[in-house]
Amino acid sequence: MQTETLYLPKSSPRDQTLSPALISASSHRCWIATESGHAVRLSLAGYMLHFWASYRVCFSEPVKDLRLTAYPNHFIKKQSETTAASSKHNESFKYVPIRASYQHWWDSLTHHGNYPHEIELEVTFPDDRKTTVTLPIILQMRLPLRILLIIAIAFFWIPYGIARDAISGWDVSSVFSWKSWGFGVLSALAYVTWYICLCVWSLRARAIELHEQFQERWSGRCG
Amino acid sequence: MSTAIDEKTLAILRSFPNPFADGVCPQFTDPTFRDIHIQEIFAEPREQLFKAIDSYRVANYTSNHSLPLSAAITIIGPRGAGKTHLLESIQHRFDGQPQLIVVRQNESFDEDLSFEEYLYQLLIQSLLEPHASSGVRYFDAIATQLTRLILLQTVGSLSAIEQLIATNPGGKNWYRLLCWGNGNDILSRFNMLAKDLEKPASAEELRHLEIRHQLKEARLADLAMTYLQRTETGAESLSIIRRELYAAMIRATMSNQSDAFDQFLEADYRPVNKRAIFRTEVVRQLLFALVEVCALVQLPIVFAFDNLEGFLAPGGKFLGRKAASFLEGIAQTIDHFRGLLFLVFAEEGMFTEMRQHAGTFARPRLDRGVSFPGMPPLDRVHLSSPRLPELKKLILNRMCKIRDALAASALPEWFPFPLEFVTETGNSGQAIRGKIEALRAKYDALVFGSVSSPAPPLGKLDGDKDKELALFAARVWKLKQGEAGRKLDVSVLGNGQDLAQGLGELLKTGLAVLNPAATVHPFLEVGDDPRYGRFCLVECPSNGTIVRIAIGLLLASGKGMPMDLQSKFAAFHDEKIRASRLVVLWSTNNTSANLVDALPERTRQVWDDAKADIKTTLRKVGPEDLRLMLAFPLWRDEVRKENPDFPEVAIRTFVTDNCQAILTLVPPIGKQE
Repeated sequence: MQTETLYLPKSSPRDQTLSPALISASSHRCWIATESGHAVRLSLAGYMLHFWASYRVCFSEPVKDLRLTAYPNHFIKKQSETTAASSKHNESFKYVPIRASYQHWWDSLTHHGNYPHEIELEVTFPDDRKTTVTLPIILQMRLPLRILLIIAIAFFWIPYGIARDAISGWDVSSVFSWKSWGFGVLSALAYVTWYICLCVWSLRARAIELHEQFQERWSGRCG
Repeated sequence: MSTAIDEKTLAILRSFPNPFADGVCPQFTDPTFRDIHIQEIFAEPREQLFKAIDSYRVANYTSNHSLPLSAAITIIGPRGAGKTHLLESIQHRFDGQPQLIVVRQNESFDEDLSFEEYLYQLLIQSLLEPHASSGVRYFDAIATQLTRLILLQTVGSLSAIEQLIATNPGGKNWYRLLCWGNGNDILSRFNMLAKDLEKPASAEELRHLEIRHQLKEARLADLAMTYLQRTETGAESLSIIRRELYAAMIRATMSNQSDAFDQFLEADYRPVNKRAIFRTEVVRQLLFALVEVCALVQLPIVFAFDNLEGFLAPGGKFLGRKAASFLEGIAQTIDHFRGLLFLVFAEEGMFTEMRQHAGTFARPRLDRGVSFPGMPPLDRVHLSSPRLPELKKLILNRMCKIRDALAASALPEWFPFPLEFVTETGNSGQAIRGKIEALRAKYDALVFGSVSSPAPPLGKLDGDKDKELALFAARVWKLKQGEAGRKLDVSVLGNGQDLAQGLGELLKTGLAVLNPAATVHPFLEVGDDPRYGRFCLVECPSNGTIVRIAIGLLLASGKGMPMDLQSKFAAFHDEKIRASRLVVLWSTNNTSANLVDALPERTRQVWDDAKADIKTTLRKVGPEDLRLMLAFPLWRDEVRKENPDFPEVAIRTFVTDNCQAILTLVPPIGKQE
C-alpha cells in the first residue's frame, strides 16, 4: 500500500491560556431608545414599545454594521435600511430606526392589548465577526389611549346592550329601565376588569417564559 | 580620636542592656526587625533583588507565556555575612509592593519526594499563613480580588432583562416591575455595581454590596458560581482545578467560609470518565493554577531557601545526594515552569560543595539568572562586608534609644566607641556578624568594664589566638593537600571541574591582595561539551581599558587533547568571556623549554590552526600545582566550618603565602610579565 503524508487539521497551539471565566466580557451594550434618545421602559416581560411611536435599536460602538433579522413585521417597520450613528453621555453607538404601528387603523380596535415579541439584531463587528442579539419586547398602545378606548368601548357596550334587548323583545320600556342601565354598567365594568386581567395575564405569561429561559441559562442554581 | 565617657553618662549607659547583643538573625520572624534594620546596609544587593522580583510582576496575562522564565539567584556570603537578615529585609519590603516570599518553616526535605510537590506544599503553607509584616493571609487577599473579577465578568455577561430577573423581586415589586416597566432603575444599580467592581475592594466591602446596591450577596455569589461553571467548562485537570479553586475563592469571599481553601485541597481533580492520572501531573497543574492566580494579581512568587546547612548538612555532615537532588529539583522546576524565582542564600563553602554535586543539567539552568533589559543577567549576588559609613549607621541605629535618654544630639555617631576602633573595625574585611560581635565586646568593656576583650582586629595574625588559628589552618592545609593528592591519583580529568573551580577561587582570593583593581570570575563554562571549556576570567584595568584574561586548564591527554585545546580558543569568541588574552595551563611533566613544540602532533595542529600568537600563552602546571588548586576550596570550607569567624583577610594572606606557585602562573597577577 502506498503511504501518504499525515494530514494535520489546523488547530491552535496547546497553550495554557487564561481561564475563560476571567477573560474580559464584551463591553458592548444593546438597548432600545426612543427617538429623542431616552431609554425605553423595561419590564420583566421585555422592553415596552408603544404603537404609533418611533424607536432606535442601539448597539454601542465599535461596530461595523447592524441588521434587523427578525421582528414582528405586521407591527414594526424599519424606517431606514441603513444604520445611523449617534452618541449620548459620551457613549457613541449605532442604531436601526424602527416604528411600531398598525397596518390599518381598524387594527387598533382589535389589537389594543399587550403583544409580546422578539427583535433579533445581527451585529457585525469591525473584524467581521458576527453575533445575534435578541431583545424581548412588548407592543402596546399608550396608556391614556388605551383607557379612552376601553371607556369608549364600555360606554358603547351599555346602550348597545339596552337597544339590543329592546329590539329583540319589542319592549321600549327596557330603554328607560334603571335595571337595564344598571346591568349595562355592570357589563361594561366586567369588560374593563376582564380586559385588565387579560393584559396582566399576557404580561405575566411572558415574564414567566423569560424567567424560565433565565433559569435554563443560569443552570437552575438561581431562582 | 577617643570618646571619653563621664560617670553620669556611664550610669545612663549601664541602665540599658548592651545594644549590640544580637549579632545573629534568628530563623523566625523577628517582630523588632523594623527597629534593628538599617536600610543602608546591603542596599545595593537588596535593590538588585527587588528589581529581579519586580520583573516577575506582569502587567498583562493571557497565557503562561506572559510570565518570565523561571530563574534562580544565589546570594553568596561567608557565615555571618547577613544573609538571613537580607532575606528578612526582603520579606519586610518597605515600599509596600506585594510579593509572596515562600520560605521553609522546617528542615524537612525529602529528596525522594517530587520537588514540585515540595514547592506546592510550601506555596500552600505560605498562602494560608498571615504575612510576616502585614498580617494578611495572601489566599484571602487573592480570593477577594479574583472573586471581584469574576463578579465583574458575571455582571457584564447578564443581559438587561437578566439583570432584572436576577434581582428576584417578590410580590408587589414583581407586579410593579411587570406592569409599569420601571426596570431601568435596576439597570442603573447594576451599572453602579460594575463600576464599583472595577476598583479593588476588600472582602468586607464586597460583602456589603447588598447594602450599597440593594443586591443580595448570596444571589451574586450564586450567579458568579454559575458563570464560572458555564465558562470554565474544560474536562481536563487544569480546568477542573481552576473551577474548584475559583469556586473556593468565591465561597471564601462572599460566604466568609474559612475552610474553603481546605475544601479545594481535598477536591477530586480527576476528569470524569478519564484515565487515572498520576499525582505528579495533578501537582504540576495545581502549582500552575496557583502561579496563575498570583500572576493575575501581579504577585511575584519567590521561593527563598536560607540556612541550607539545616537540611543539606545537618550536624555538620554535608549530604551530597540531598544537595544534588535539591539543585536538580530547582533546575527541573526552572525548566517546567514560568514565573517562579528562586533565591538561594548560601554560604560560600557550602555553595561550592553543592555545585560540585550538581550535574551538568542543573548548572546551566541555575546560572541562567534573571534577565533585565539593558543589563547582564543576575544569577549571583555576593554579600560584601559593610564598610565604615554603614557601620557608623549601625552604631547610630543601635544606640538610638540610649542617645534619646542621654538627650545629647551633639555626640558623634560612633559614640560610645573610640573613632580609631570604629575605623579599624569598619575597614576590616570581617563579615557583619563579626563586626557586631566586636562592637558588643568593646561596648561591654567600655560600659560594663567586662574583662572579655573585643574580637581581634581582623587581618592581623598576631596574638595567641591568631597563632592558634594559623596553626589550625596549617594543619587543615596539610590534610586537604593529602586528600587532593589522593583524588588526583585516581583521575586528573575526572576532577577537571573541581580543579577549574579551585583555580578560580584561588586566583580570586590571591588577586584581592595582589591586584585589588582586578575582577575575577572564578568559573565560567563555554560550549556544549561538559568535560572541557571551563575558564576563570580575570578583568584587569590597564591604561584605561579592561584586559580580559581567560585562564583554562589543558588536562586531557590522547584523543581528547586536541578537543580540549580547541575548546580553550573558544574563549576569544564566546559572548560571555570575550577574552583579549588566553592563558592555557597544561598539566604535563614535560621539561622542554618550548612547550608549544612539545605538544602532541594533532594538538599542535590545533594550536597552529588557531594562529595562536602573542595573545595566547601556554604554561605548564605540575602535579603539585594541581594539588594546590584542588586543596584550596576544601581547606577554606573546612576552616570556615570549624571556625565560622575565620577572617577573610587571613585566608587571603594564607593564599599569598602558600600558593605563590599558582599565582605566578598568570602574568598580571604574579606581575611577572
